[in-house]
Amino acid sequence: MKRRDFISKGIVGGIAAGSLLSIPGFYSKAIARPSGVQKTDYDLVAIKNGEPEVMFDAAIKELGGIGKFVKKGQSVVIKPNIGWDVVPEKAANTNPKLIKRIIEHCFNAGAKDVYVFDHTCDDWKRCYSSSEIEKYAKDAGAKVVPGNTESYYQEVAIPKGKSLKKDKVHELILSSDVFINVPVLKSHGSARLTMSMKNLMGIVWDRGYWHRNDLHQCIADFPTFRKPDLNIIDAYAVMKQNGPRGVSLADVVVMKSQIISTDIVAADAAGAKLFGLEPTDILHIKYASQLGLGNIDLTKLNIKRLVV
Amino acid sequence: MPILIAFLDLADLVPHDMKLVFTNIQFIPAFLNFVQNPITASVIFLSLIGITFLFGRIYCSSICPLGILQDIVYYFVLKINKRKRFLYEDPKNIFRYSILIVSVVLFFAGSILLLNLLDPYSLFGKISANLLRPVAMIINNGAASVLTSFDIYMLYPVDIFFHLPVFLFSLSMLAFIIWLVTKKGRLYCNMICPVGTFLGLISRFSIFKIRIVEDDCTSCKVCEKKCRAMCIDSKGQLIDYSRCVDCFDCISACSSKAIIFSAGNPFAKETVAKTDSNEMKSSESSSVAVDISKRDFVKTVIASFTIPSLILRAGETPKVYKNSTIAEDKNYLVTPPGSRSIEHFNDYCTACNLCVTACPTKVLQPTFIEYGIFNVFQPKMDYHKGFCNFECKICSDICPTDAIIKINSLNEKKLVQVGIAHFIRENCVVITQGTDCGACNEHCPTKAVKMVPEDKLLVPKMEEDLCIGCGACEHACPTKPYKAIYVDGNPFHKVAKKPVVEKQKVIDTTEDFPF
Repeated sequence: MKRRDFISKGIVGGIAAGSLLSIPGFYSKAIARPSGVQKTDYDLVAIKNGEPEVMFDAAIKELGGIGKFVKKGQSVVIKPNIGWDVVPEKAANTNPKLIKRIIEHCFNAGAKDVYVFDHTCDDWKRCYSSSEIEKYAKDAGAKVVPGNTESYYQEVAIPKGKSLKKDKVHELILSSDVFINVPVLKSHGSARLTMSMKNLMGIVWDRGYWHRNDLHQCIADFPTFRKPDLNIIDAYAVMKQNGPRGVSLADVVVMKSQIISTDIVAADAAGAKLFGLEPTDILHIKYASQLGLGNIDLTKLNIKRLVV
Repeated sequence: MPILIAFLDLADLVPHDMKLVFTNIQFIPAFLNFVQNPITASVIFLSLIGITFLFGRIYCSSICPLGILQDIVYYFVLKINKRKRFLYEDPKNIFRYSILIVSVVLFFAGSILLLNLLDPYSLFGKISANLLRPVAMIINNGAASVLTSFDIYMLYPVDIFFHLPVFLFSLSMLAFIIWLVTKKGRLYCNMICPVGTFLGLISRFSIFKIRIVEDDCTSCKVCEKKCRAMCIDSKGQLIDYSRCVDCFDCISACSSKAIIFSAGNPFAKETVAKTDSNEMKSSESSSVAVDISKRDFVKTVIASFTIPSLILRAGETPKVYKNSTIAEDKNYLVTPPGSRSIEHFNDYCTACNLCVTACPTKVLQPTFIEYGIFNVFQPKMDYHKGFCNFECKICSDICPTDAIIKINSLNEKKLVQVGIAHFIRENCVVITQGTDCGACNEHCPTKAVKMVPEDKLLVPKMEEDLCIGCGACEHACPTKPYKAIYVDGNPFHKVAKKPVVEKQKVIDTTEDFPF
C-alpha cells in the first residue's frame, strides 16, 4: 500500500465516521402541552400504615380517582426515581410495586399508552433492572423507555426561570397528555431532600448546568415550564442519611407513608415535614413558593389524612 | 464468529462465560495466563501446543479470529476473481523469525509491545472494537431513531466514542491485511504474525500432515495454485509445513488424489522444506536466552516515556457560572479494578479492547501512548466518559489475558482502591458561587466524600481511606474547565476501609402526621 493511499483512506474514513455521528435523530418536534392541573376535593392527601399499592388505592380515591387526571385514549408518562443501580430494599429508587399499581389505574381509566423512564445517574440498563421497576412496569403493560441519550431531549425555553432560562427536556414529557411524577422521599447531599421538584432533574439532559448555576434556584425554576399533573411521593421506606445513593440498609427506615397532591410545592412541604425538616429550610421549596408555584404553608391547605 | 459477536454485543446479551470460552482458547491470552500461573493455567496453552504438534496449525485455520477473517476476505476475493491463483514462494524467514525473536525478547524483558500490535487475537479485537463495533452502533442508532419515531422503544441509541489513533491503526492494519490476502493469501500469518511463526516451528514436526504421494503426483500445480499459504512447491513435490495453515484446499483440489492428510514420522526429513532448517535452530536458541538484567533496563526506558494524561475539556461558558481556575494534578493513570498495579497491567495487557466493549458505563477507553510508547492502545479509566459502576466487575471477569485478574466477589471489588479522589476547594461551585452543589457526594457510593456544614452551605470533604477511586465524583462534578474533584491513580492498588454503617432509629408509624 502506498502512503498516499493510507492517508487518503484515513481521511475519508475519518470524515465518513464523523459525518455519520452527527446525523440528528428523526424526532418529531413536539410542542409542550399545557399542564391542565385538575381541581380536586382536597389539596393534598397523606396516608400511612399500609403497603404502597394499598395506600395508593385509598389515597387516589379521595382525590376522585385517577380518572380525574387520565381520560380515555390519552397517553401518560410516569416519572419514577430510577437513579441508582441498587435493589428496592435500599430505597434509593421509587417502590416498583407502587409504579405497577399506578400504571394499572391509568389503563383502567382508559389510557392509550403509559410510558415510564428516568434519566438515571448510574448505567441506565442496570438501574432499570436492579430497581425492578422495568419488570413491574412491563408486567402492568407500560412501555419502559430509555432516557440515556441526548437525542431524546429537545430544547425548550423557560422564560419564567431565574437561573434556568432554557433546557433540553425528554420528548415524552413534551408529547404525553398526562405527566405523573412519582419521586421517593430521601435525604440528599446536594438538595438536602429529594422529592417532587428534585425528581424533575431526571427529565432534563444537562444536570451539570443546574449544579453550576444555583442548584436550588434551578430546581424551583423548572416547574415554571411544566408542572406534573399529579405528584405521588413514595415514603414507604425512607433513606434518612447518605442520600441520594445510600451506603447500606442501615440508612433506611420504614415509614409506610405516601403523599399525593397536584400542588408540587405543597407535596414537597409535606414530605419535608414527614422527614423531620422545616419546608422553609429547604431552599428550593422556599424559592418555588416565592415563584408562585404552590403553597408552602400547609395550615392553609385542605388536607385529607388517612391511616390504613 | 463468536469472538466477533462478543465484541459487537451492544446490548450485553451474551453471557460473559460464553464469551470467555472463545477468548480464553486464543493463543496469546492462553500464553499470558500460562506465564502468570504455570501450574493452574497450563491446560489450554499446552493443549494448543499439543494440537499443533498432532495436527499442525489448526489454530490458524479454525480458532484464530484474524485467520478466519482472512479466509472470509479470501472467499470474497474468489467470488470476484474466480481465476485467482497463487504460486509457491520462498519463506520470508529473516523477517518472520526476527519478529518472533524480538517479540519474545521484548516480552521477557518486560514489554508487551509487539504482542500488543501483532497478536492476531488482539489485533482482531482492536479492529472489532474500533471499526466494526462503531459501524454496528451507527446502524443501531439509525434503526433506533427510526423505530422511536414510530413509538417503538425496542432499540435504544448508544454512545459512540471515537479514538483516532487506535481507529487509524485498526483501519490501516485491516486495509493492509485485506491487501495482503488479495495479493499473497495468508502472508500476514506467515511473515508477520508471531503466533503463526511460533506455531510453524512446531507444525513442521506434526504427526498428522498433508503429504504428497509421490507416485500419484503429476506435478500439475493445481494444489500449488490453490494454496493460500503459498507453501506447496508442486514441481519439487515439497510442502513447507511451517507455513501450512491446515486449510486443506489442496486435498480437495487434487484431481489425482495425490495429497493425503495422514500420520507419519514427524521428524522424517524429506517432508520438510530444506531452505530454513538452520535458521529455525538459531531462532529457537536465541528466543530462549533471556538476559534478566535487561528487564530493569527496558522498564526504566518505559517509565521515562510514560506521559501523565490530562484531558481538559473546553466548553461553553455559562452566563452565571465562574470558570474554575486550578488544573487537576494527575500523576498516574487509573487501571481497572483487578489489574492490581500499572506494572502488572502493562506486563500482560495486549490491548484487545474486549473490556472496553464490555464495560457498561464506558469508563474504560483505549489510550494511545499514555502508558508509554511500549504500551499502546491499552485501556484506562476515563472519568470524563463515565465512572466505574459500584455493582460491577465485568472487566475482571472477561479479561482473557489476566491483565485484569478476576475478582471473586462484588464485596471484594467494592473495596479495591484503584485511585484516590482529591478535592480542589478553590474550584468548587459551593465556594466560587456560594450556592449548594454536592454532585460529588451524591454519586459517591462509599461516602468518602462528606458534606460538611459551613455557614448555610454544605461543602465537600474527602475521607481518603474510604475512597475506592471509582471516579463517580469526578464524572459528576459540574465545574469547568477544571474539575473540583478528580481521581489520581494508585500505581499499586490498595484496599479501602469499609464504609461506616450508622443504624437509624426505628420510626413509630402509628404517630400522627407532623402536619
